[in-house]
Amino acid sequence: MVGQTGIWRLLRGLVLVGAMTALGAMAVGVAGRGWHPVACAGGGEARVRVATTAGPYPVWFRLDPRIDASGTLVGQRLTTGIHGSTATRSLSLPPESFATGPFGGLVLTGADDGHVSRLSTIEVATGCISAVADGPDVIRRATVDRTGTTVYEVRVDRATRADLGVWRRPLDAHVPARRILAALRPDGRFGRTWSTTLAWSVDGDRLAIQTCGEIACRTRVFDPVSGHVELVDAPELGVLVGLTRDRIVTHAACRGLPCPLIATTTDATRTDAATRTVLAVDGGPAVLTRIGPDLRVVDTAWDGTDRRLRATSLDGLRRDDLGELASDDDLVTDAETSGIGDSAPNGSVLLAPVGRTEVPAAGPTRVHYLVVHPPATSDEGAAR
Amino acid sequence: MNRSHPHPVVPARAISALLSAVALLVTIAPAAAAHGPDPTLNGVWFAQNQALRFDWRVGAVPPAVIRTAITSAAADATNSRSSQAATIAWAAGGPNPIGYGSGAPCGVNGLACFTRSAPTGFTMWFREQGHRFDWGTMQWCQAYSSPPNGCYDAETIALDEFGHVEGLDHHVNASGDGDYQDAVVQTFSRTKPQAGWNAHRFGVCDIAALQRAYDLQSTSQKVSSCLDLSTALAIEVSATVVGVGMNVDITATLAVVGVAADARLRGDRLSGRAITLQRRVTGTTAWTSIATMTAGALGTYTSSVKPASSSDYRAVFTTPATEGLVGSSSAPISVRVAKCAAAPCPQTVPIDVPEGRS
Repeated sequence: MVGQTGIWRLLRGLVLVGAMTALGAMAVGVAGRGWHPVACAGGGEARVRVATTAGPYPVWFRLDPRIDASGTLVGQRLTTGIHGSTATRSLSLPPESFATGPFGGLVLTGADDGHVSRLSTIEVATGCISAVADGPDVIRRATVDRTGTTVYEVRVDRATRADLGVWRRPLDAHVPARRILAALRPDGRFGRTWSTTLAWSVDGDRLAIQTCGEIACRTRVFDPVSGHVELVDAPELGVLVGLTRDRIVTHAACRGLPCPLIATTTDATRTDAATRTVLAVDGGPAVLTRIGPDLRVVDTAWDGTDRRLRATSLDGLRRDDLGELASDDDLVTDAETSGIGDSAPNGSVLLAPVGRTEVPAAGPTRVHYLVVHPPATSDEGAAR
Repeated sequence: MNRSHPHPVVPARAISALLSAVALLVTIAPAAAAHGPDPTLNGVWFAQNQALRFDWRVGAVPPAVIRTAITSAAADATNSRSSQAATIAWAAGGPNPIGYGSGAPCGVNGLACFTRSAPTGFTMWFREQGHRFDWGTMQWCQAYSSPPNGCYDAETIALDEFGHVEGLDHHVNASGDGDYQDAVVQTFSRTKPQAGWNAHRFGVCDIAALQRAYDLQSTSQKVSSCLDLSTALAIEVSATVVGVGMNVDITATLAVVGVAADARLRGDRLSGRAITLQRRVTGTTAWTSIATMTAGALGTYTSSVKPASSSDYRAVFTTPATEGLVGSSSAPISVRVAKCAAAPCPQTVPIDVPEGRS
C-alpha cells in the first residue's frame, strides 16, 4: 500500500489519466465465415516456423460453446482472426474439445469424437490445418512451449476418466508422446479432478500443471530442462492466475468472487509457513502482467460503489489504483476462462464485456487494451 | 507445499513472511470449527431484508427447466433463511443477471459461480448441460424426466450459490462429513443419490451464519441449533413486600447474551420460549417449580403469585433441545410477606421484621 501522496504520484504515472486508451480494437464477426480447412503444405518444420513467428499481424481466437434449445452442449465454435483484419473463420468442434494459444501464428486445438482424440494446429493466416497426433486416450488439454517445438498434453483414460498424467511430443514430427509426469494421487482434500490445465510462466521457461477439484487446486511447476517438479498442494489455494520464476499466484479456493489473491513461493529453500503472501483479500478476475520492469497482479475490485482496476506487487507491499472500469467491462483472463486466445502487448491488459466476450447473439465482440504505464520517475514522464 | 529439502527462512524475510502467513490464516482459513455456523466471506453484508432481484442474462438464458430450478432455489433461500437476510426472487428487468453457459467468473472447474458486490448486487453463472470435465460429462438432474444417478440437482446448486451471495462461505464439516446435511453451502457438491444431493432449504449451519449476520426476523423465531447462544433472564416483581394473600406480579425477560461473533444477536429478546417460575422459602435452598410463566410481548414472561410466606423466586429457562440457546436462570428475588391477621394487610410491615422497628 502507498500513502495518499504516493497514490497521487502513481496515479499520474502508472495509469493513463482518465484510465483507458484503446490501443487496438477488434470486431469479431459474430458467426465468422464458414470454413473447411485444408491441410497445410509442408511438414513439421513449417509448423514450428509458424509457431515461432506471428507474421505481419498477431492472431487471436475465441471459443464459444454451442448450446441447443434444450440447453445441452452440442459442440464448440472456434473463431480465428488477425488483428487489423475483419475477416474471421469459424470451425465447429465437438463438445469435448479445446483451443489454446496462439503460438506465433498457430492455434492448437484438440477434438475428441468419442473414440479418438486429435491434436491439430491451425495456421490462422492461411486457415490451413495440420494434424499433430491422435490416439485413444482423451487429450483434455495441450500447449506448445516457447520454442514452438514441443507439445505438452494432459490425458485422461477414455473409459474411467482416470488421470493419465502429462505427456510430451515434438511438434515437428509424428512420433509417439512420452509421459513426463504421472498422475497425481487422489487426495480427499481436493475431491475428484474437474480440470487439469497447463500454463507457462511469464518467461515461458516453466510449465504449471494445475489439477483442480471442485474448488481447490494442486499445482505442479515443471522445469522442462531439468525435469524438476515442485508441488504446491495446499487445499486453501484455488485457480492459477500466473507463474513467475519463484512463485505462483492463485486465487484462494473459492466458488466465486471476490476471493483472496495469494502469491506462493515455489522456492524450496523456504518453509511452508513462510511461502504465502495475501495480495488482496477481495480479489476479482486477475492477470499477471509486466508493468515496466516489475510483475504485477492486475485485478478488478469492488470498492462498494465502483469496480476498479488495481495493480499489486507480488510482495503485496505496493498497490496502485488503475481507475474505474466501464460498467460491463472486465478483465480478460486466461483463455480457459475467457474463451479468448489473445496476447496483450507488454504493459497492457485485455478488457471485454463480462471478461469473456459477449455471447454470440448479442452482437459484435469488443475487446480492447488498457495500457498500463510503468511508474513515473519524473513529472515529465508522468505526463504521458 | 511438498518440500524435499526445506531450509530455515532467512530471518529478515521471516517477519514479513510470518505476517503474510498470519494474514492468510485470517483471510482464508475457515473461521469456524467443525460443525459451527458457516464461515462468512470477506466484504460487507446486504441490508436486512434487502430485495435482490435477478433476471436472465441476455443471450445466455438458461433453458426452462434450469430457470425453474433457479427460481425455486431463490424461493428456497428466501423462505428458509430464518433471518433478515436479503430476499431473492426473479423479476423482469432485475438488475442481477444470471447466465448459463461459459461464464467468465467460473474458471475451469465447478458447477456454478457468482460474483458478489454487496450491498449492490450479484451475478451468477451455471454450467451448461453436458459440459465436459476431466471426470466426465456434467448432467443436471432437471434435464431428465427420470434423473440418472450421478446428476447434480440444479435447485440445490443454485441454493448453494444464493447462500454465497448472502455472504456465506463453505461449511466446515465434521470429520467424516457426518453433518453434511447441516449445510447446503458446501465445498463439495453431491450427486444423486448421495445424502444431501437435493436439499431445498438452507441447513441449520447456513441459517446460523445468516442469523449472526442479519439477525432474527422476530423475537419468537427459533435460533438455529447450529448456534450455542448463552442467554440471560432478568426478573422483577410488582412488590417486594406484601400482605398475606396479596398478589405479586412477577415478570421475567429473556434475552440473548452470546459472544462477540453474535454481535447482531446480542440483546435480542426471545419470546415464545418455556420459562418456569421457581420458588423457595426464604432461608432454604431447595427450589420448586410452581408455574410455567405466560409469554408476553418482546421476550417477557409473567406470572402472578400469592405468597403465603416470605419466599424467593427465580425464572428458569431450560436449554431447549430444538434450538441453539443455552439455558439460564435469573437471580433470585425475594418477596416478603407482611404480618397481619386479615387482608388487606399493611404492606409496610414485613412478617419477619421485629415489632417496633418499622
